[in-house]
Amino acid sequence: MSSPEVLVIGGGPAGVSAALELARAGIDVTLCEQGPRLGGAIHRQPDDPTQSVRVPRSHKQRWQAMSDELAASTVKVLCRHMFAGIEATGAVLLEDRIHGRLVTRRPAALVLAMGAIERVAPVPGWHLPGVVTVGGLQVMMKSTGRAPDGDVLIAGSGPLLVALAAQMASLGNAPVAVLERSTRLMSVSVIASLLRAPAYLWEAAGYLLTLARSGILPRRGAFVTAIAPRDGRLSVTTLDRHGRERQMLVDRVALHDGLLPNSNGTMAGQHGPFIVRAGDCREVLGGTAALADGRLAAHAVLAQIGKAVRATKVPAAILARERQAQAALNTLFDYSGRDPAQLPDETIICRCEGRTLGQLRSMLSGDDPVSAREIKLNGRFGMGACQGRFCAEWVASFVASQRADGSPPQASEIVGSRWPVKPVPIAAFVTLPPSHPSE
Amino acid sequence: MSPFDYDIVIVGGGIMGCGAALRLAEGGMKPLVIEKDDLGQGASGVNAGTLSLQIKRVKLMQYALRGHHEWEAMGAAVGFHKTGGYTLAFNAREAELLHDRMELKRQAGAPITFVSRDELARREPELSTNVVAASYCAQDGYANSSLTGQYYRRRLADAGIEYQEKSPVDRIEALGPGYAIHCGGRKVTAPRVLLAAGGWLRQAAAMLGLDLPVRARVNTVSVTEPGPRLTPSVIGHATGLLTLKQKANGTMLIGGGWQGTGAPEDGRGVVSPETLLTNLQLASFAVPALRNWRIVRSWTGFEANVPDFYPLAGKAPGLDGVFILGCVRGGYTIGPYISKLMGDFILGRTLELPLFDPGRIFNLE
Repeated sequence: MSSPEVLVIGGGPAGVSAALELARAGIDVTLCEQGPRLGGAIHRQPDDPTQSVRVPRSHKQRWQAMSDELAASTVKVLCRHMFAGIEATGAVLLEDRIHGRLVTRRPAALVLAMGAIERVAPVPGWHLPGVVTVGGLQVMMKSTGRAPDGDVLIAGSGPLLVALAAQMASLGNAPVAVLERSTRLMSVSVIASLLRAPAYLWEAAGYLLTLARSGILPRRGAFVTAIAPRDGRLSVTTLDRHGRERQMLVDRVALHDGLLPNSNGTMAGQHGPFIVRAGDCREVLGGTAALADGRLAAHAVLAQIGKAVRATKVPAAILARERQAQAALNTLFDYSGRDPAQLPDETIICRCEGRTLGQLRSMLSGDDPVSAREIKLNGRFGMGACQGRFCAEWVASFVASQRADGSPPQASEIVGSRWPVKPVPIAAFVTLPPSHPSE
Repeated sequence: MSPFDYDIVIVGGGIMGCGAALRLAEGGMKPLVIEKDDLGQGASGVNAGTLSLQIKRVKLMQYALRGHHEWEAMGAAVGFHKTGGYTLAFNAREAELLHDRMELKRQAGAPITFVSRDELARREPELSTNVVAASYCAQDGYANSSLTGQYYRRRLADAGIEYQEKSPVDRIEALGPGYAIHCGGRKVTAPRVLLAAGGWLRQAAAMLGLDLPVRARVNTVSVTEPGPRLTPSVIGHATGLLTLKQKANGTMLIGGGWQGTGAPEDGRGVVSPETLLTNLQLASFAVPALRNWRIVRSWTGFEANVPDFYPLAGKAPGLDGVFILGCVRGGYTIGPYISKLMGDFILGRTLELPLFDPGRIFNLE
């Protein structure tokens, strides 16, 4: 095939949409997904097809249509292939998890569609076993088709809270409570906001109805202030909007404070391929927008490699509409998390290496400005296995709030951008059988 | 009263520059340390932290032994651990190389012994069964290089030594006597200048019209996720192309001087997959269980070298009041000591060991 190869990273709606649009234009596309199946967070398919979680019918139909087109297309799909980064000469590194090796590709263009990462604002005890993210729990449920066992508390803010709670309820284990930090959900302006996004309104209504049938009403303005281990379970301290403290004993806590673009892996080197980001990985606007954004990313690639692009304003219009809807939705929720001033020094900030808020505070207690490099090398924040993906944003905003310095470090400076962007087994590097290198 | 702002301006705030500043202040001088980034964040802060006499050159052994004592004295503040270290050979040729090299180092003063295969297997069960010969040095260990910057910052502050970070030097101007250092709009004067800019030494010297034959090596280091304890010791290879140690937090730090790409003038270097692969191959050959461990991060640091691989430490050729300190092979180990020597030299004291004339003739190939 004479056309240059385009590599699409991420098998969610944005990636699949980009791959399909490129294939329609006759481009040689390879779609890489790190997991065993395509679908991404939103269309995640179960390990056992008979054990599926109930999802809105529109979601199911949309994914079916895309899967059908993909099967009939020229797109080459590589599941269990993880994007490991781009090295200095511009080669894209992929960890082939089927054969346990690192492989390199030199595509003309790279579409990064690696979705969003979940934001969880730190509270004391959030690092304990049994504390998970709402999205993480949803992934587990969608993969196994079963609700998690035991008493589960869902807390934080965002539409995902009631979605997970409803899915758990329909699988037979409703959460013991849903704590939604925001108090804005029932204001008058909410109705106007929701009317601008009718699809979300219907989806939310469905979830709330399911929950109501299980006797669960999300508690507005309530949040978790501390989690501690007790008798093999988790003792959770909560505050409600009237300032009343409460203790609950549960088996799991699922936390969620919004979504952020998965920005890891952006290293546009001078020799590298043309890079374009698509979907939540570029801007968190959800699945519908991701489809349109995937097409737009494909158009950007086509323009770059000199292929004619069919003129259509449809994806851009969808994106604009979804951006408006998300903006309206975002006004309903409260992603601020616990006020750092209320957090004790022992609160873990970096879960990978157990670095605490006290250690961060003491770094900031001197007179000198603190650089991102010092936060990493001296503070060890962002140096663990996640390379700062889960703490960099919080650390950066905390530093900015504490220091009036001219240029506080940016989260992007704290998040690792070197390859490998995610941990890669030594065995995958060492693709040759174990022979002595000097023999 | 002196017409100068300082007695000496030191360009470069790594181990060399800070170490010399401390010695000079002790001797009554008023130094200023100027660092283009943050203190101790160049090679001083990103190297693998190995303190091994088994990988030191014979001619530098006396310096390395004294360097070891300096590190031991700095102790926990720099994450010092004396663990003992093994150097491994996997075939007859390597065993011969190991024997020849270690015998010379032993004669030079390093307390190195040879260990039988069986004894090694007993002491270090996770090491490869392919080892045919091994040497051991009880002095060997490591420190945590990422603590270098904060350690020296505290030491400078305690000694009342001024330092200026995030301040690349723009220009060095020769005055009648003395020098004016221009740096971010500020001008400071001193009768003496010490260039201790590590990988950036060539550029620093060029500001004074000196052309030093300094080249930067781009050394690669990698770290794994934490895992179960595999070895308490620092592990090396007969060729010198491997360093491996498990830190207290369970992570494994893997180095050995494998070369990445990039140059100091372009900012940071980059890891090359081909050399990293060989580095990791050697590491997992030495400790087979490492194959299943995951690499979290690989990075590079610039190490300056001259053609004969001996230090530049002494008076700059043809320039009054200009001193040079750098290019010390094993600079992390030797740095705290040779920087003291450099201080003594500038203070006009008698030296415990000789320095290395930067004006010597290099055989340039």
